[in-house]
Amino acid sequence: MEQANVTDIPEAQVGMLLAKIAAEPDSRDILYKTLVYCQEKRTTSDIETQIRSWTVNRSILHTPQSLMTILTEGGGLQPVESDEGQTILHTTSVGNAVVITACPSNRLEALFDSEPEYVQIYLRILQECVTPHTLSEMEDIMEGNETMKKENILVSYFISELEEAGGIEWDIKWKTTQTGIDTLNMLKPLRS
Amino acid sequence: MERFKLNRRDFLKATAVAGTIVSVSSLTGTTLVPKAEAATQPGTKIVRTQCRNCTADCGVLAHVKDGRVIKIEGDPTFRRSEGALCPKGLSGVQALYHPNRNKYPMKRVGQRGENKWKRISWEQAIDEIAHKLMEIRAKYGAEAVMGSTGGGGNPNFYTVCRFMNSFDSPNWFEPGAAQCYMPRTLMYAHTYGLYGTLQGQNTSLGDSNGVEGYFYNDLTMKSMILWATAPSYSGPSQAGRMLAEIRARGVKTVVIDPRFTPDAAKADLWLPIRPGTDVALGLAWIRYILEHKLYDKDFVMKWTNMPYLVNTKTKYFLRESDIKKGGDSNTYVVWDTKTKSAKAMPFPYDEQLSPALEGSYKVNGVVCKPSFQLLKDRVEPWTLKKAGETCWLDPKKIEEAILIFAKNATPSNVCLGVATDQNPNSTQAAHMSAILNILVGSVEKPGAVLQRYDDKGVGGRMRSSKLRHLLSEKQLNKRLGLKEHKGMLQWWIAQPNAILDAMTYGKPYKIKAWLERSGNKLGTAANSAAWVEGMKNLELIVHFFMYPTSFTAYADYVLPAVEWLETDFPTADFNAATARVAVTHTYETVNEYWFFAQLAKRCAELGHENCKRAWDPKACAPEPPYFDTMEKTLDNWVSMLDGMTWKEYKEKAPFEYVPMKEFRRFYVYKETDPKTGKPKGFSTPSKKCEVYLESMIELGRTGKPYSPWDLPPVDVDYDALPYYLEPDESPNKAIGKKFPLVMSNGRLPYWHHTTLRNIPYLREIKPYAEIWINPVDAKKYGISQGDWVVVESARGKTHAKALVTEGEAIGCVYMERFWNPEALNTSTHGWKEMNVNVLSKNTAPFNDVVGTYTLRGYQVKVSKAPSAPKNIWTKPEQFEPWMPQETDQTKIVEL
Amino acid sequence: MKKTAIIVDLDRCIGCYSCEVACKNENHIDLGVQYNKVFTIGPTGKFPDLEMYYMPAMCQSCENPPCVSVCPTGASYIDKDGVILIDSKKCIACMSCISACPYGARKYNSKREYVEKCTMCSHLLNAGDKPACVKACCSKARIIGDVNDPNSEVSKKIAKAGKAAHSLPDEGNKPATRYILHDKTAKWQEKKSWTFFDNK
Repeated sequence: MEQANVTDIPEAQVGMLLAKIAAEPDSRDILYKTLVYCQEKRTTSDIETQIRSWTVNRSILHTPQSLMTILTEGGGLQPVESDEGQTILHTTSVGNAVVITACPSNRLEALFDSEPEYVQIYLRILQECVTPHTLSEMEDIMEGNETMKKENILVSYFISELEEAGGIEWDIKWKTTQTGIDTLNMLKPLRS
Repeated sequence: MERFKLNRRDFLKATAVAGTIVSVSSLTGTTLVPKAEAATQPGTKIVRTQCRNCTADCGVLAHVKDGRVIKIEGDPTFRRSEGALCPKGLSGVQALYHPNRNKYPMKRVGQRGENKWKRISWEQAIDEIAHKLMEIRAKYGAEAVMGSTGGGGNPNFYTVCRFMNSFDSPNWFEPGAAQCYMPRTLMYAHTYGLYGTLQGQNTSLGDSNGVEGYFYNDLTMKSMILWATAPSYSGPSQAGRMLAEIRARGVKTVVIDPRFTPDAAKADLWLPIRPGTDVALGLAWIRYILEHKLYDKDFVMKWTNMPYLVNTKTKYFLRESDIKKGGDSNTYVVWDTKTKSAKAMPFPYDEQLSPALEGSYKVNGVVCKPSFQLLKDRVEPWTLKKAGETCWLDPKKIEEAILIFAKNATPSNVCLGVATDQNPNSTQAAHMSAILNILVGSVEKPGAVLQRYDDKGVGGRMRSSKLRHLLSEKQLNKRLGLKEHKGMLQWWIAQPNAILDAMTYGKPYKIKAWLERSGNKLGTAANSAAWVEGMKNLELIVHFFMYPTSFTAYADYVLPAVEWLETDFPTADFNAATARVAVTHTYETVNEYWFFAQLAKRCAELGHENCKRAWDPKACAPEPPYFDTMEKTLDNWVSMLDGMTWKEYKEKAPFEYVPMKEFRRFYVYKETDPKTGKPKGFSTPSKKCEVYLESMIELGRTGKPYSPWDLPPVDVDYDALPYYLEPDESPNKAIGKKFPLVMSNGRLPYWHHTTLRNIPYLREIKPYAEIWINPVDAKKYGISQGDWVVVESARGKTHAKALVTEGEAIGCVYMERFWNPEALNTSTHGWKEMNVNVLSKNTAPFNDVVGTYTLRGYQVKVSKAPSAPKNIWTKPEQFEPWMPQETDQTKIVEL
Repeated sequence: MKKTAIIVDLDRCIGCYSCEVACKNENHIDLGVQYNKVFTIGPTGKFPDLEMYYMPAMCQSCENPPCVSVCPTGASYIDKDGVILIDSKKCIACMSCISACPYGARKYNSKREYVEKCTMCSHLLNAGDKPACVKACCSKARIIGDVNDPNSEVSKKIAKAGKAAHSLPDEGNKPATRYILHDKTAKWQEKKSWTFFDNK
C-alpha cells in the first residue's frame, strides 16, 4: 500500500471527504472503517459483505452500495480496472489522508485535550467496557460520579463521545475497541 | 406477538374510510343543501365535513363527484361559522390535489439536502424506523428519541405525546405550547379552574372561547377588550365574524396591538402598544381599578381569595390550623375588621365576618396581609404615566380604555390572544388578564367569556389521550427544561430550547432521533439556523406531513399525511357533536394516529415493554390503549356519547349531546354540590377564584398538581403575582443602539403558521413576506414603499418587502412568518429568503414558569436591500405548476 | 326590470379575502385574474389617529352598462335578472368593452380568447342559490338582490343607510352596487375615477 505524505494532499479535499462522512451521523464509523478496509483493493461484493458483518446488529440508513457511493463521490475511494469485469474500489490518497488524520487514536487524543475535566470519566468508561456492558449497567456503574452529578451530564453523553472518537463501539453492548484498550494502557499512569 | 404484517387490504381498512356519504340532517333544518345540490353537476354528492386548516373546524360542504372533490363551501348549519369559510378553508381543494403532495413513504438515498429519495412500503418504513429507535434506546436511552408536533394545535394534539410516553421518552415539543396557548391554559387553570370543558376555560378567542359573543341576538356584554389578538386576521370565519356581529350591535371594542388590524380599525379605541410590554399595561389597569374601586366588591370579597391573609414571610396563606389548635388546614383566614382579629373563613362565606381587603396585620407575631393588599402593593408603581412611558402609549387613552372595561361599558371581558404568549413575560400576562376579569366579576355570568358550559369536554376528549402514566418517574426527571419550568407539566411537554441545546451540545445527554409531524419547524421555531446546526448530529430524522417543506430537506424518511379532506375526526359546535368526515383518499397517505400506533406496535414486537403496555387495555386504563385501525380508534373516542360507534356518530352528526339550556348555564359556582351541600365553587385549592397563586409556589417547589411524584424544586420560587419583565432585547438597552426597532409578528387571513405558502390562489394574493414599517422609521432608514429590505437581528438576517404604513407603531416593525416552497430544492431549502424566525431569539432569559423564549419583542434593524432574494416567485403565473392535478390511478414510481 | 346587484356593508367587511378566493374557486379563474378584488383603503391619517376600511370591488352592475352598448356582436348582454353577462361564443375579442368599463371590471382571457367578468354566479342564482362570494363572506357583509324592488332586502338596506350608501364614480353608467360605510368606521374616499383591475 502506497502511503503518500498526508501534507501533500490538498486540505480542502480532505475537508470535503471528512464533511461527507460527518454528514452521515449513523454511519460515520462504518464509512471510516470502509476507507481502512479498501486500502487494499477490494471487490464491491467483498466490501458489501464486510459492511454487512460490521452492521449485523446495527440499523444503518444506507445500503452498503450507497455508502460506497458516498465515499466515491467524496473522493475517498476510486474504481480501479479489473480483469474479471468486477468493480474494484481502492482508497485514494485523499481517503488515506482521512484514515491517518481521523484515526481513532487521534480522535481520542483530541477528545481528551478538549475536555480535560472529563478525562477520568472517559478512562473509567473505557476500562469498564473492556467487558461489554449495556447502557443501563453503565448508568449504575457511574451512578455516584461527582462531576456528572454536579454538572448534570448523563453517562450517555460520554459514551457517545467515546463512540465518535472510536474508543468504544456498539455490538449489542458497549465494548471498548482495541484503540480504546491501547489508550488505556498508554494512560495507565494518569489514572486515579 | 405475530410478525408485523400489513397488506394493502389492512391498510385500506386501517386508514380513513373513503367516500362515505353522510345523510343531510341538520339542527336547524335548512333547505339550503338541496338547493345547492341542484346547482351542481349530476352525480355529485354533497358531504358534510369540516375544515382543519386552523383550530376553528369550520363546517364545510364538500361536493364530491366520482371520488374527486370538485368544490367546497361553508356549511351554514355549523353555528360557529354560519356558512362562512375563510381563505384558508377555501384552499382545501388546491391543498388536497397539490402536485407536490407526499404520496408514499420515502427513504433518503443521497446525502441530506440532495433531495434523492426512494419509495418504500409503509411496512418497511415502520420496521426500519422502529429498529432504529430501539437501537438508539439501547445505546443512548429512550430520552435520546424526541418528537414534535405543531400545525396550530393539530386536532389530535397529543398523538406525539402519547407515543413518547409509550416509548418512555420524556421529550417532545411544539413551537407553540409555551409560545402559544399554554401560558393561558395554565394560568387560567390556576386562577379560574379547570373543569374538563373546552369552551370557556379561558379567554382565547382563537380556541373556541368567547361563546357568549356568538349568541349575538342575546347579548349581555357591552364591551370586549381585544388584547394581543387579531381575530379578523387569525379566525375571520369564527371569532372575526363574531366580532363583526357584536360590533354591529353596539358592543364597544378596545384593541391593544402594535398593528392597526381590521379589528383595530373598527374598534372604539386602539392602543398601539410596544411589543413585550403588555404586563406593564395590565398592572396599570389593575392599579387603576383598585384605586378607583371599580372592582366588583361582592365577587371579590366572596368568590376570590383576595380577602385571605398571607403570611408575608412564608408567602403562603394562613390556614385555620395556623391560628387555632386542631383547626382545619383547608380553611383560610381573614382579618375581621369588626373584632380586629384573625378569623377563620369557612367556605363559602360567613356573613358575620367583615374581612379587610387592605392593610397589614400581625398574627402570631408574623406580618400578614390580605392577598388583595399584596396585589395592591405589587401594582403600586404602575401609574398611568409610568405605563404610558413604558408601553409608548398616551396615558389618557389608557384611562379611557380602562373605563370602557370597568365602568362605562360593562359587563366586559379581557380576551387575551397569543402575542403575549410569545415572549418571556407570557404567564404573567395571562395571569394579569385573568385578574382583570376576576376583579370585575366577569366570571360565569351572562356575557362573560369565562364559563363552565356543560360541554362535557366533547370537543377536547374525543381524541388521543396522553397516556401520561406510562412515562416512568426516572424518565420524567430527564425531561429537557422541566426542572426550571414546571408549568410545562400541564401539557406534559418539554422545552424547545433545552432540546435544541441537547441536540447541539449533547448535554445533559444527546438527542439522536427526531420524529416530526408538522409543517416547517425552520419557519416556526426561534432561530432557524441554530436548529439546522443541531440537526446535523441526529442519526434519524423522520418527517410526517402532507407535502415537503424546508424541514424535509434534512430528513431521512418522509411519510405522507392525509389532508383534512381525507380525515375523520369528531369535533364540537357549542352543544352539538359534529364530524369531520373523510370525503376521499389519495395515494398512501395516512392519519398520524395510525402511524404512531403502528410504530408503537412494531417497537412492542421488538421488545419494548412499555410500548407493549400501550396496547394493553388494563395497563392503559382509564385511558384507552392503542387500536389497530382508525375505525376502532374513532369508535372508542365517540363511545363516551352513549357508546356510539363512529359510523353511528357521523351519520347522526350534527346532533345535540346536551340541550342548549343545560349547556349554556351560568353561575355554576353557586350551584349546590350534592356531596358537600355547599356551593360548588371553583376547582382551585381555595375553591374560589385565585388571584394570589400560592399554587404557583407549590408548582415550582414540587411539580404538583401535575406530577405524580415530587420533583426537585426550582432555584427561585415562582411568583404568586404577576410582575413586569422588560424585554431582554429592548430599545431601552444597549442593544437598542445597533438594532433600534422592536419586532413583532401576527396573523394574516391567508396563512396558518407556515402552511399554505404553496397554494396558488393564496400565494398570488401576498406572494412574499412583508415588513410593516411606519413612515417615520422608513424615512429614517431609507426605505420606500415596496422596497426589498434586509432585516437583521443578533441571530441573523433575512429579507422582506416593505409596507410603509401609518398602521404600524413608530419604533416597531411587523413581519409574519414565511417560507418559500419554490426554493425548496435550492441550497437555502426555502427557509432563509424571508423568514422572520431566522431573527428570533431562542436564548435566556426564558419565562420562569413555562420556559417561553422570544418570538415577539426583540430588536432588529432594517436597510434597503440591493435586490430581491433569488429563486423566489412573486408573479401570479409563476404558481401555475402548483395548480391542482387530480389523478385517478396512482403511478408506481421506480427508482 | 330586475336589477340584481351586490351590496357590501363596509362597516362589517374585515378584508379577509374570502370573497376573492371563493369567486376564484367557483369560476376556476386563472392566476393573476380576479372578478372580485379586495382593496385596503388607508390607513389614512397620522399614527395613531387613523382610519381604514376594506373595499371588495367587482362588476358594479350598471343600469346603463357601457360594456353592453359598445359590444358589436351582442356577446355582452343583460339577462332576465339584470345581471351583465358575456356569451363567450359570440365574443370576437374586439376589446371595446374592456376600455368601455369605467372600473376595468372586465378582463381578456388570452388562453380562451374571450372576455370574462363577474357573473354574479348566475349559474347559482338560477338554481336558487347565492353567489360564492356572498356565501363565503366571513362578516356577512355581502347581500344580493333586486335593487329595483323596493321591498327587497338590498333596497331596504340601501334606504336605511341613507347617506352612508356610497357608489363608485358614475359617468352616466349608473352603477347599482352600493357600499355601506358610516363615518364611525371611516370616511368614504371619493375618487374621480376608479379602475380597480389591472388590464395590461
